Amino acid sequence: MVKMSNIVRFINGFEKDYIDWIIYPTMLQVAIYGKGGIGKSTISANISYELARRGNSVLQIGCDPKHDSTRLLLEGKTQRTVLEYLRSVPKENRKLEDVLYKGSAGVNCIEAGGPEPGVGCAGRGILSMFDFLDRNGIGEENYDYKLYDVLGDVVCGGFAVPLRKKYADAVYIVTSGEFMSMYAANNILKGLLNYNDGRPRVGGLILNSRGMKGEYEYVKNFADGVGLPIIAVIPRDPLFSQAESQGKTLSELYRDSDAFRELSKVVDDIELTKQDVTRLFFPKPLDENSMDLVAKGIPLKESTAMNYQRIRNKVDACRSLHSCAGAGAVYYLTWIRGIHIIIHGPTSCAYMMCYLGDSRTVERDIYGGMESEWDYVSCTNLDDSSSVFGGTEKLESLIRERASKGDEVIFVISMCVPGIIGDNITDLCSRLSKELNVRVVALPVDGIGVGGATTGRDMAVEEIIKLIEPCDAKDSGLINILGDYRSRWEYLKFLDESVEELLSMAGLKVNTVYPGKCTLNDIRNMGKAKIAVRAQDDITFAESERKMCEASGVMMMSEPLPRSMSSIERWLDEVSEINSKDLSDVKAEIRRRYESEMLKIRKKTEGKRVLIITNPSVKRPWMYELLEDLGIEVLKHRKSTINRWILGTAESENSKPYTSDDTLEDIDGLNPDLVLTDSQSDLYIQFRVGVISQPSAGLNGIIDYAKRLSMLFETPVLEIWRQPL
Amino acid sequence: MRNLMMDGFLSAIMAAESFEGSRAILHGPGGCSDYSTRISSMIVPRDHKVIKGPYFFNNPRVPCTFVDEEDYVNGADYKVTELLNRIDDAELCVIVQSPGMSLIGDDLNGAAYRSSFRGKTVVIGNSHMSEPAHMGYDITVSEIVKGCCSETERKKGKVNLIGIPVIMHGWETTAEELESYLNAMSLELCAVVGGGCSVDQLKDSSSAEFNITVLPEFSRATADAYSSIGIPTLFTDIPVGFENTRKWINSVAERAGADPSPALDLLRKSELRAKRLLEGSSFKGFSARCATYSVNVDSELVIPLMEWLYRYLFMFPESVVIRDWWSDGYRAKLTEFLESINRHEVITNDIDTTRVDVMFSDGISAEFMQKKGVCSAGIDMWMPSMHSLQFVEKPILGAKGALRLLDDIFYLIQRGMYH
Repeated sequence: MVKMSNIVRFINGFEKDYIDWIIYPTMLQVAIYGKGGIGKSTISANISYELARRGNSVLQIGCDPKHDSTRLLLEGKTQRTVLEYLRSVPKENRKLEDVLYKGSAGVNCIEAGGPEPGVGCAGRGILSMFDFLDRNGIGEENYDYKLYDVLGDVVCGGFAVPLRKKYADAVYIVTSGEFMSMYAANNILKGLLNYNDGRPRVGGLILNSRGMKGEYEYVKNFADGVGLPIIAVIPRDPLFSQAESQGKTLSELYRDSDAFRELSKVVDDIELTKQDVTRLFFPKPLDENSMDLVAKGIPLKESTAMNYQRIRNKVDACRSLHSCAGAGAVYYLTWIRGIHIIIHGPTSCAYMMCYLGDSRTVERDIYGGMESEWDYVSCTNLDDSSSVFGGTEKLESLIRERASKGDEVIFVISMCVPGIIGDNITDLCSRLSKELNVRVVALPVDGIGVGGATTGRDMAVEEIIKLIEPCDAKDSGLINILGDYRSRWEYLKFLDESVEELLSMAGLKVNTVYPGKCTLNDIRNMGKAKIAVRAQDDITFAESERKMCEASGVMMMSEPLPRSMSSIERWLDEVSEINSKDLSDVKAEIRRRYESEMLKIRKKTEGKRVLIITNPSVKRPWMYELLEDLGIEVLKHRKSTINRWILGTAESENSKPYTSDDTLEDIDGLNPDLVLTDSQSDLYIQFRVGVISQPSAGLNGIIDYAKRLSMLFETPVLEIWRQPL
Repeated sequence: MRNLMMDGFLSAIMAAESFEGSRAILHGPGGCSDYSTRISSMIVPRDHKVIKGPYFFNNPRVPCTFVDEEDYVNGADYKVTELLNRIDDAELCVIVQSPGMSLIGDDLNGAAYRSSFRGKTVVIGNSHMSEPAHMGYDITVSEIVKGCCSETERKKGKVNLIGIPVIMHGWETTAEELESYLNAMSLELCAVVGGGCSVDQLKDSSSAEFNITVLPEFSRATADAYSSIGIPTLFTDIPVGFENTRKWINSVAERAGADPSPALDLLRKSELRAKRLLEGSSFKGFSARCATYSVNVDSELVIPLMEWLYRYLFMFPESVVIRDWWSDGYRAKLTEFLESINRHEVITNDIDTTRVDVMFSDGISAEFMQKKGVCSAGIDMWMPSMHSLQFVEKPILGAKGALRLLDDIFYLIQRGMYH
């Protein structure tokens, strides 16, 4: 029975149910860990058998994809694994008893199973198995002991599940005198440290002898270093293989052997632990230097336990990733009609990525034909089962289906799940390209695996560039627009018309708009135009736009589509120079219209003062000019925080984040009439705040923007709905 | 076929957000949090609280651990602990893992244990990726029930409503209407579990005499969770249309031993209003008789809806999208109904190309198909919706749901868009 002094030692810091459990233990959960091939399954089966023979009810759960943990308890037969069961039986028909087998001495047996070697994620398989067991009432079964026989090392979170507080109360580690098995034992102790909840949970080491000379001393040195007892020294005994050949445990067949006597010591220790869990030990793994001494057989001094620290990432505005490369790639590909996009991932990824695109299509179908994103996008809908067994089968079948429907170009974009389980989409796409005679392009962005939306976009653009066909005969009347100038809503078409009017006045016709809705042919024909213009001046787009022009052999204009009066003039000058055409009359006419409109708006804005907060990746030269033309004073221009994925780690992490607290200080100090910001979250500041987007390109866009800006100064500081009810 | 349906992962987050006094915490990348942050504020409006700094970044809802590619390798349970340490405004935190993080195997119970958050935490072990929305929702609610409710003395006359998910249009209106029927029958509503109840109401739900389902597919796991603490569940007709709402009231009354008349009187008022309007409009030649329709709704309410449209208005189905998750029994019932009205071909008709007068579907498909000319009018029944902010709710269940559907159908008819 547990000693009262021990209880007192443990009482501080633990919840009542744990204290109750220490005093009145009902069940002990034991995990047997150790390096692969060390003999865990044989030892586990022997322990389970003996525990059951002593009158205990026992459940043994094999957590190894090779699923041979319970074989010796089932007369050498293998049982149906949980993962095979989950794969073949629909959710609504699943029952615990279908995977629960009765073995020798009444031991209940479960095997997790796992995917084929080299595919899927065995760790996820273990997680799925525990989820199934929990959901189907394994917790309601009354056992005295549950034994988890776990694969080799603690290779990932999945195989560490039995280490969690909810599962293993006591962990026994099987080792031999071979250094690698002690190295694995040390890793298991590190794993336990990661799950440290302040309770001791290590039972000790079980030495499964290989028969090496000085083996015991070798292991003893390690055991002393980590502060653990060697519970039993199991001899290398041919009786094990004799029992195995009969599909039984040594504990059942050879009860008067030395090996059985040693195994009994482990069983005794487990039974004692159930009586008093306070006799367990805390994990104290060794550091690399100490492990080196163990390897060399040099006796360890005291206090060799490592100062173990987990790798931790900071979550802050500079470092954290707010987007996903998968979404960036999908977004840039869905503009092109004529290619098919396969999202290799769960439904939720596709749902989130296409929801907004589809809303846009409903609002205004720019290209015509009312085509849903879903006519061009499909998804492999990876589920829990795919994450265990791999998702490439589903992907291959979907690619074949699309090819049979006549798609010429198929892009496959991988999300986090296939990235983590290691689905090789590159080789698959390459193989199917050749076999199906269809261009199947792999974009292994792996969700956030390669970074944020800009990275995904850049990877997509690299591949899109390869679709452009070379063209030497340039047409000086054609222009490519890099980025969409068109409005989302039908009623704002007058803004688009302003750009089209400007192009027409300059004698230009649009060849391709990308990224903006276009066809595969538009992309192929990008090289026909002589010049290209950026729809907006955004540094995050600059590199991909440059590459696109380079690939198509098209000259990039220095000015983007103009969003201020002076840039309209500069832009027209540039066209004039490239195409040797006098556009001075056009300039004069536009200038006259601009000044006439500004004169009216300026009456409302003259003398007003603004504080500006903007994302530094977007240049806004138009803004200063417009504010000046409206007679508005800029008190200060602050740069908002931007993350490392855009600016690079060093630059972003060295910059001090500018937060809404700083904005409030600025408001107090500077007393502006208005805060202009490009961050939606600043709208919650209790002040008159306007969100800067940018004027649509062309004269109508600039005038419309100026009118809306002037209205912001006329509003009260807070709308009534913002005031407390 | 357009198939833009929410899956179990996103619906699990919404289920966690449905409880007032609870916070859903997303253990996953920032990219996954954007949609849920936005949508939860729209479908479960609450007092707005801006929280600055890590994990929130001014987002009022669904704080996130912003995992990145390194966390996929090293694990990031400590982020959950740090995030929980920052929460001081919730009694309950529900930790939902993104599909990617669910593969990593972070010990989230341990992470919660190590935090200073002293409220209740519930960890949803599976991401429910690509599972039907109802499954993620129902299981999440059931886990919350298991975590927060314990066996206690049951009180006669007290009931819970289950299966009113917040991802259903007009969930608040439906819950209020059904509560008014319960009150009229002298029954006391403890909680609309998973349909906007508070954490306190959830705890009180343990004292209910029994639960009543609304949408059964959103109720089964929840019913099992209550069954384990001794509370039975009454599975009854889905209250779509007046007839089924009447059946719902009568079943509840029979189970509770209550008099249904006062509740039926309330229902009758709405039914009478519909009847009078229909009588008046038919005098002017407005009728839905023989109007055709298609259905694309991710729910078991499809059959009762079709039955009601046929019996109440003589409307005929032309196509219906069959859900993979519907049971054989449900499919057989659908076939039986369609054969009874000589419309067995409906199941094989392609919804994308079958021209109909009305399409009942998710909001985006409804507008999409209307613009495309496949239907004269699309009726927004389900998420995703073009109307992400619904100041006036668009219920689909109960008498108010029936009136709203009639409203939409007859708006079309009045405009002479068919016939």
